[in-house]
Order: sequence, then structure tokens, then C-alpha cells
Amino acid sequence: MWGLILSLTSPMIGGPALAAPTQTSSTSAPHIGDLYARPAPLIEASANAPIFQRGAPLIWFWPHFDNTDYWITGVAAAVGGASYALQLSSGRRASVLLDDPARDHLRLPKLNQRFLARDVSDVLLSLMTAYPILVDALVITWWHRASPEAAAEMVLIDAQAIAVTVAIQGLTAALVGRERPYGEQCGNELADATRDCEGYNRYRSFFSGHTALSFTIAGLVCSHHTYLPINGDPISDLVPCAGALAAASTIGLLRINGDMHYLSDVLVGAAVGALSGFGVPWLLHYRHDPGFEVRLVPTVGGLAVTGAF
Amino acid sequence: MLGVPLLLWCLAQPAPLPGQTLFMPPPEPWASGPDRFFLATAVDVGFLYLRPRLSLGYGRPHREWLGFDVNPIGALSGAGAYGGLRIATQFLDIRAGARFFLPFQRSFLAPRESYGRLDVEDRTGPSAKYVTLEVEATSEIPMGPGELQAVFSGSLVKGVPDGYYVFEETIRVVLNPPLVWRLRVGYIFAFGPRAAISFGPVLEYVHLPGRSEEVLRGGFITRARLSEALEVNATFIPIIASPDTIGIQGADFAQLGVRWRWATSY
Repeated sequence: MWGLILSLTSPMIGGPALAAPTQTSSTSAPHIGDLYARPAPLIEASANAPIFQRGAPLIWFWPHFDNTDYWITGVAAAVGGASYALQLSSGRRASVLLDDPARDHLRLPKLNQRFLARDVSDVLLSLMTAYPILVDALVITWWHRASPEAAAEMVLIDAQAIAVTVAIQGLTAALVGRERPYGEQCGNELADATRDCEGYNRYRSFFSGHTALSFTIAGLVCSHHTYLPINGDPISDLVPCAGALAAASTIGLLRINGDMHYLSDVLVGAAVGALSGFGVPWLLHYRHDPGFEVRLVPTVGGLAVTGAF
Repeated sequence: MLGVPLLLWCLAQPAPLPGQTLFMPPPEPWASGPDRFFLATAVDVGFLYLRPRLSLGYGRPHREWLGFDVNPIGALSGAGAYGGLRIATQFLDIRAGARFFLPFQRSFLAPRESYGRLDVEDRTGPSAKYVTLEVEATSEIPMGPGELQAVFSGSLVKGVPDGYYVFEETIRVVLNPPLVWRLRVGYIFAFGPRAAISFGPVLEYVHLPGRSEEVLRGGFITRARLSEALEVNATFIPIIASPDTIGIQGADFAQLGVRWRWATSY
């Protein structure tokens, strides 16, 4: 149950920024609209108190990242890193179910087209990985909304979910040792003495790391925008989530277009990535009862008290 | 890319209310004070690279100073280190030094007229490792609503066996060593609260004397200066024209991350 809630958000895109705060009664359940009510200016201008012309702060109501979370993140990162140095198995070329029909239909016909598809998937993945950390956490939450606490928690949760995905994917790829679809071209269309054909990267097809990571990112973006009014209104907060899911799906498709993965690699990658991206934030953080917290927040004309319990 | 949503966001920001002024974040302790000896660091971390830089010099750190830079380089493609001299003034920044780089999965290349993607990934040659001696001058001059930026660099690549070409990982070109030089020019618009967001187009010309060829790239750079210590950077400069068709490997996608700065205080 929520106590008094002072809605402290400001719109990110369009619309007037400033309105009177909305308060809910202590007996009513929190409503999603409460989180999106437009705020008043934080502080009035005075000779000694310069106006803070940024968005209203985001308040972190959940338990903070603790030692257990650091251990989980550290161990996952270590396992993920180590797994990329391992080659425990290799040489299995096996397609299952719809892998071959999907490859026949989705693999691009020319080699340079497949290389282009791989490049585009790499660029998209880079942008997706950067978005929740650089844009959501740093620029919007930390800088625009002057909410370093919330920004730090978001970045740590992002790192945790990504580390978990990397650990699961890295270990699975090393243990299964499935050959990538292009492997059958090594020795004819692709020379044996190339980076793609030499080394054990050729045998890391299952499951798709790009797809897993991109769906993890999409899950993180959706989770943060669900529990925190980062962009200030429900529609604006829906857009990054929808965009991230679309981008993740595109990456998965491009990996098949580029002959880097089978359909089953991509589907499993998407499932694992989504589980991590949605599951880790909820299971380890957002589902927890925030407990009773009281905060003082500046408003026009003075201070307000917020409480959550 | 990142610049587009940032631009849209900044354009959508409401005008200040009457009587409002912009918040002035407190300056970093190291940003003030007279010229003095100092130790400073600038750490670039992003997807996927880590470049911490340590500077020892005299002057005002990260502004106008003279001294030495050293930094290790870590990326998915390889590892290395740089060390050199640096002079930074208000409008001009010059550095000269040596960089050693060891690519993890790259070989020296047999000479060709033109390289494709598979050609630069050919592993039949000796494993690549080389030293690049370079001089770079960077200038940022306020002009109108933004600033004009120009970067000129000349590099000498050493350690490549006779009869081989090399893919230079920093400049992202295949060259017949030793010489390569490049010129990058851009105009960066600044906007948003306290002009903290900058975004603009850049054009880059790379000359490969050993191959009698040129590479032309064009793209944009974006920066969000969150404080004196912290900024978010993104650089994406793909190829416009090149004798080679090596895809994203030939583009300058060098930065997509954050830079954090610190220095000893006066």
C-alpha cells in the first residue's frame, strides 16, 4: 500500500512541464496515473536558491543493490568472461526442426549481403547496449532529473542482468559447441584460413549471444520504464520499450540473414535474454516491498513529505 | 543514433518560467586554481573498450597544460598502450607519441589493389603487431551557435615485415607502411541546458601514400556534458568512399560510452 505520494515527474517530450502536484489519500491503492501527474517547479527563484530547471527527480523506493547483488554480478561476469576463453566442445553441425527451412528462406543469397547483415546487427547491438546506461540512466535520470540514486541503481541492475545473460550464453556456447551455419562454407566460399573459419568462434552457434543480449536490454528498458516514470508519461515510457523489443527482434532476424545462427539459436537466445532482462530486475529488485520510507522533497512554497509503506 | 533522440528531447524542453535561471552545478575542485603541477586521469569506457589515460603535467588539468600522457588500450579486437607528450591550449591541443597494438585475431596482409572483408580477415600471414608513431593536432574554435572542430594526424607504422600491408586498428585502414595521414573537420552544434548537448556532422579524409589511395568518411559525433567530470560520447563515421570494401571495420565507430575526468586539486 502506498502512503502519500507526491508525483514528481516532468514530461520528456512535448507538453507543458509544470502543474500542481497530485496527492493520493493514504487509504487508496497507488494508481499508475499518480506516477505520471505533472509536477510543480521544484524550487522558486530567490537570490540564494537558483532554480533547478531540470525534470523532477525520480525516487528510488526499492531496496538498494547490496552485497548479494554484487556477488551475483561479479560471479556471473567472471563466468561469462572465462567461458569465452574456453573451447570445451566443437564440431557438432546439427539443425533441428525448422532450422533448415528457415535458413533456406532467410539466409541472404550473396556473401557481401550476409556481411552487411552482420555489421548492421553489430551496430544495433552496440546502440541497444548503450541506451539504458547512457540515455535512460545517465542523461535522463542522473542529469536531467538530478536523481543520482535512481540512476546508480538502474545501472547496477543493468550490469547484473547483462552479466547473468553473458554467463549463461557463454557457458552454453562453450559446452554445446554447435557449428555456425556458415561453417559448411569453410573451404569453398570461405577460405579456411580466415578469422571466421579458424578458431572456436565457428563453434559458438548455440545460442545466439547477440539475440540474448538484445532481448536482455529490451527487458531492462521495459522494466525500468514500467516501475519508474523516466519519461514522465505512460505513452512516452512505452515508446522506448516497444522500440527496444522491435530492435531486439530485428537483431535476431539479422543474425539468421547473415548466416551466423540457426532459427533455434535465435529463439532460445530471445527466450533466455527476455527471462534475464525482465526476470532479474523484477525478481531481485522491483518485486521487493520497499518498506516504509519517508522523504522530504522541495516544492513551490516549501517542502512536501512523501511516504511509502 | 543517440544524437537524434537527444536532439528531439532537447527541442522539447519547456522554456524557463519567468524568473527562473539555469542551475549552475558546482565546479570540480580541480577545475579551478592557478597553473601548477598535477596528476590527472581521463577514463573512456564503452561498448566495448576501456581506455584509461594518466596525465602528468603543468598547467590547469584538462584545459591548458603541458606534460605527458600514458594509457593502456583494451578492446575486443586487441590490446595495447600509448605514451607521449602533450600540449593543450585554449584552441589547440597537440600530442606526439607512440602506440603499440597487438590485435588478437589479425595477420599482416599480402599486398592487393583492393581488400574485401575476407581479405582483411585472412590469417595466412604472420600475426600482426606493430608500433605507430603519431602526431595529432586538434582544434576547437567557437563559431556561431556551435564550434568548428578539426583534427589532423600523421602516423608512421613500424614493425611490419617487408612485403606486407597492415590493417591499422586505430585509423581503421589497410595501409602499405609506413605513412598515413588524416584530416577530420566538423561543425558541432551546442544546445540544451547550458549548451551541454552537442551534435554535428563530421567529414574525414585519410590519405594512404603507400597505396596512392584515399578514404573518405562522413558521419556525426554527439556529446552530452553531464558535468565537468562526466560526459557521454558517441562517434559514428562510416565510409563514403574507399578502395576497399571491408564494411563496419573501416568505419570509425570508436566511441559509444562515457568519459570521466579527475585531477589533483590546487
